[in-house]
Amino acid sequence: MMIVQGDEQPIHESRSVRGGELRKQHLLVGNDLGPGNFFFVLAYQKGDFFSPRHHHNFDQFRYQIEGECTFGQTGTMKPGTLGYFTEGSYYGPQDSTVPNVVAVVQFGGPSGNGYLTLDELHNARVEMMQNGHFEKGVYYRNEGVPGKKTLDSFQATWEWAKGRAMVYPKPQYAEGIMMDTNNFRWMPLDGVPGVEEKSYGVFTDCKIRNASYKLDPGATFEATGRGIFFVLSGAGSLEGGPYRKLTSLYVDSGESATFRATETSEILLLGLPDMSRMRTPIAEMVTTDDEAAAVA
Amino acid sequence: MIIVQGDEQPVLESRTHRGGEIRKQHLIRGEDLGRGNFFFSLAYQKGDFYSPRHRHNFDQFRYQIDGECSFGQNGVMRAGTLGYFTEGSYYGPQTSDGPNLVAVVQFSGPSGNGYMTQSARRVALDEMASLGRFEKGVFYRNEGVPGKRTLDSYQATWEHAMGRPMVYPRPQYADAILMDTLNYRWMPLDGAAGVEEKAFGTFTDCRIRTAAYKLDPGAALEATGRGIYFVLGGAGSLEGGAFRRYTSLYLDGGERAVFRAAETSEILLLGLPEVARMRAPLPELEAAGDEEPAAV
Repeated sequence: MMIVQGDEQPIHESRSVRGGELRKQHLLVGNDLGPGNFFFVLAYQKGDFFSPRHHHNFDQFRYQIEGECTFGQTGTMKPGTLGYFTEGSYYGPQDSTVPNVVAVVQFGGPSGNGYLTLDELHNARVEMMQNGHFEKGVYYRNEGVPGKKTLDSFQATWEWAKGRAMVYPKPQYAEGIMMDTNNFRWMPLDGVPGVEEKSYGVFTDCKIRNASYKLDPGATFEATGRGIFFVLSGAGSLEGGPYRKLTSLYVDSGESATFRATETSEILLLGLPDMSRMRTPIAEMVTTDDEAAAVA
Repeated sequence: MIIVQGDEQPVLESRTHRGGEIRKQHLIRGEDLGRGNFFFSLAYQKGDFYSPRHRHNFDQFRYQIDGECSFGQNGVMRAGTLGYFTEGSYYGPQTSDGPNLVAVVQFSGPSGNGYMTQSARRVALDEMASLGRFEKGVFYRNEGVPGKRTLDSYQATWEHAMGRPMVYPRPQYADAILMDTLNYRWMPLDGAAGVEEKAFGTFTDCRIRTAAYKLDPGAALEATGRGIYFVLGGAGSLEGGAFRRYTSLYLDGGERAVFRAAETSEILLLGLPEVARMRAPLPELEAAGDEEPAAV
């Protein structure tokens, strides 16, 4: 279990492989070199961000807090939009022309491919800058440096860090899934007085959950199951300390933590896959760069 | 509970407002004039089917058994693709240029808008024949007939049958969700020896489930919860009778039925929303418009 007060975390200028100006608050940082790593941040984008249509070998939730960001045919994220971008599925191009704030968790998905740790990422980028340059989401190798001359920037970084070719999982969903959380209904949560739930979905064969919970003052909510619980508003206590807007809780499988509300509170659950349901060893991947070969 | 042997149902020529030739086997048909209606059928398309990009005020699962069908930017459904087309979300255009076979259930979604019964639809189509013509998914009113000159053909049929303008639910998902069921993993189903599950997803605030179950010979699966269980392969017994390929079971909320496999069997669950979780009376709808708004 990890608990972090988001408003106590520094805001860093972020070196981005995607171009544009980006500042980040690191909220919860995993350090698992296996399939279970994750990285949860608040991203403040300056609005000149662009990345081409691409796919990843990891999963990602994005919750839009302020501003807008377009993802091409996948749709536009506005405040209250929650996007699930599954491993292997193409999405974007991603483009924003106005400042915007988004909560993002990237994590090892059902394939068991894992997710680069910050140390792995940092070390790779330092070396890569000496061997080429990043521009608008693409890595260009210097003349004479072995390897593909141009490559999606994240893929290039991953391959550099791991020392092997990236393989993409066959996607379970054809596209990113965007949910307008404003259009879901609050429903009483069974057996929990004073708590209502918006159930956004359960995704993939790893049963990755997504929901919001609204607590009346005085209500108690027990958070269970592997995932991140992110406080959108309200205040109360959490495991002996306070919680407030941007408090972030990571709960591992088998753990539980209790929110006790003193004010009306809203908490977003960004579920993570139970590691016992992930594939190991990694199986059934595709290596193609050809989008047409994917599910859609 | 309703149990139907699919291979005993006649294959009927179907009148369609979408153009092209379709034959249908009606498997399970609701006759609920309230919020719980549904219609489950096997559709044999000749391959010249076309409908423009459009949306509905009901939900739909489509499971592709044979052939291919394109849905434009949403992707291509190939054998084994399961599509969830949610109320209010635009999809398509839908085209197919080869014969294909698809299992389709259309049903009243979380908004509580309901779903037109087959008898109401037939009466409307008969009456509308003298008022205009259907062509490639659009209804063209004859000169002098009151109402919009052109309208999406389903919307026109619905409005004629109901005698009021259609309003669309605000979509919970921006787009249709296409799942490649071949890319999901079989996982043991807790507490059910010899049964494995592929969990495809649980969607909307009504928690609409979809999954597949594989039964070893001798294994038993207790089906529960509102939905349709559709046998894709195998044989055994079901509630005192036989099950085999295309046997279709409808369970209402609170009901249960037991499949006992004599051969390795595969059963697809197409969940339906619990009526108790649906909205009533209809809230927060938006008037039907011809323009597709910016995506969610």
